[in-house]
Amino acid sequence: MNIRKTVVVMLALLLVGMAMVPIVSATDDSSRESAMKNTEAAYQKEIILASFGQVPSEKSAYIDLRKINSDPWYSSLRTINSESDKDLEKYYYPNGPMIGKGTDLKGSIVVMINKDWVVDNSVLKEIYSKISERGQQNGIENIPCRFISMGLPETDATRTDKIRPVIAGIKVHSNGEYSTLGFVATDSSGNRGVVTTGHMGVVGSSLYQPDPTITGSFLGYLTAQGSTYSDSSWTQFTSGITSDPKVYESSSTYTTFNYWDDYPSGSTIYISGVSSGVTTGSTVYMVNIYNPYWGKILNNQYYATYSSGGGDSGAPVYEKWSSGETVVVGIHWGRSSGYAIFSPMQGIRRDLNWITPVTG
Amino acid sequence: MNSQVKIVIIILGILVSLFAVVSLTMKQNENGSPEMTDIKSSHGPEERIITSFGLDENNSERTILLKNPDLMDTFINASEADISPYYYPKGPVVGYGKDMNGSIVVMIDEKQETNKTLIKEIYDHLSARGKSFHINSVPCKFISIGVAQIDIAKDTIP
Repeated sequence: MNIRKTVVVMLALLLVGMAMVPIVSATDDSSRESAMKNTEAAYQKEIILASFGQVPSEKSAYIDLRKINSDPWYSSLRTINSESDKDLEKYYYPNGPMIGKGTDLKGSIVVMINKDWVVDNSVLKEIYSKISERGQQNGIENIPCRFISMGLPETDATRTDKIRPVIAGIKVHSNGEYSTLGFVATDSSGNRGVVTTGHMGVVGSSLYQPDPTITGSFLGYLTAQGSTYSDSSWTQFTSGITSDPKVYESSSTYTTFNYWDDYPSGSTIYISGVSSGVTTGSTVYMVNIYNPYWGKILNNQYYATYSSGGGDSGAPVYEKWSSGETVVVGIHWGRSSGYAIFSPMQGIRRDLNWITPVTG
Repeated sequence: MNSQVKIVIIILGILVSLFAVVSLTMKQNENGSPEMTDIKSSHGPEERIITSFGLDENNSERTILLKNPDLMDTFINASEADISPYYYPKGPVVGYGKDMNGSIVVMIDEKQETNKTLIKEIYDHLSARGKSFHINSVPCKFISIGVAQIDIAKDTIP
C-alpha cells in the first residue's frame, strides 16, 4: 500500500472515530440526565408512612453516585444498614411487613414496607429503634430514616415459571396434564388454597406449580371437585405456600383482584390463560351444557366470545370496572364452535362447599 | 485514487452511517412507549340459527322475559324437565338456556342431521310450559353448535 492509500484509510478511520465520540458522549450525558429525572420522579411518587431522625429536606441535593463509595456518611449508613439487618430478621416478609431496606440518594436509611400490610405505627417505631441503636453504636444520633410503602417486587417470570407467592393465571400441573391456576381462595375453616379446573386429576391427585420437576412446586392434594354447577376443583395448600389475590397479566403486571362476584355483569370480560395470554370478549349465552369430561350436563354455564386454547382450562375470568377495580367472576373450562365456555363464581362456590375468593 | 481505496472509503462510510442509525434507534427505544400487554379481543363467530319462534319484535313476551330475568330463569328451570330427554348423547341437545337478548336458546349438535320434526316436538314442550307461565309465544331459537371440548393440554412432563 502506498502513502496516498495509507493516508486515505487513516482519514477514513479518523472520520469513524469522530462520528463515534459525539454519539457516545451524547448518550452518556443524556442517560445521566435521564437517570436523575427518573430518580426525581420516583421520589415524587413515594408514599411515605413515617420519618424518624433528621431526615434531609425535599430540596436537599442528591449524592453524586460517582462519589458514593468514598463518602464517609454513606460509609456509616452502609455499616448501620448491614448491622441492623441481624436485629430485624423477624420483621422481614413474609413473617413481617418489611420487604427491603437500604439507603436513598439524599442520605437516609430507607425501609420498604409491604403496601398490603395494615400500618401499625408501633411496629414502625420498633424497627426504627433497632436501626437507631445501631446508629448510636456507630456514632450517629437520630439517624435519618424513612419508611415507604411499596409493592412486593415482581420478577420477569413467565406463566410457566415457578411463581411465589402463588397467583392466578399461571401454569399448574397434575397427572401429566397442565392447565391454568384460577384464583386463590379460603375454605369455610379459613384454610387457604387454589381453585383450578375440575377436569385435571382426581381427588387426592398432587397439584404442582409449575410442574413436578421444579423443587418446591408441590401445592397440595386435590381436595374436592365440582361438576354440577361448574367444572372446578379445590386444592388446599400444603404448609409454607404463600399466595396473593393477583392475576398474571404480563411479566411486569400482576393485577390484584379487588372483588369477586357471583356472575358476570355484562361488561367486557377478560381471561388470563397459560395458552392464550390475556384475551377479552363478552358473554353470549347462559346455558345448561353437556361437558364431555364429566359426561353430563353442567348447569348455568356461560358462552363467551374471548379466544382460548388447550392449557387455558381453569384460567380466571374477570372484569375491569370503569372505577378501576378488577373483579373475578369465574373460571374458563372449554370451547365450542368458536365460543369459549366458563363456569360462573356462583356455581364454583356452590360446588366447592362455598369457598371464598381472596381479594386485596 | 485507485478503485481499492475508493471501496475502502465507501465501506467505512457505510459503517459510519450504520453506527449512527443504530445509535439513534437505541435512543428511540430508551424513550419509547412502556411495555404493552398484548390483549386479543374477539367478537365471536356468527350465530347459526336453524330455526326460531316468537323472535319478531312485536312479540311482547320477548320483552317481558328480557325485562324480567327472574321469570326467565324460573321458566328455564321449570322447562329443564321437558328438555332433559333430548340431551346429548341420547338426543341432539348439547345446551339449553338463554341469550343476553331475552330469548330461550336450544343448542343442537352440529354433527347430527337436523330433524325438523324433533325440533317442533321440543318447541311444543316449551310452548306448553310457557302457557303455564301465561306466555303465549315463547321466544326461542335453535342454533347449531359443536359439542364442547375441554381446554386441557398434555404436559411434556409425566
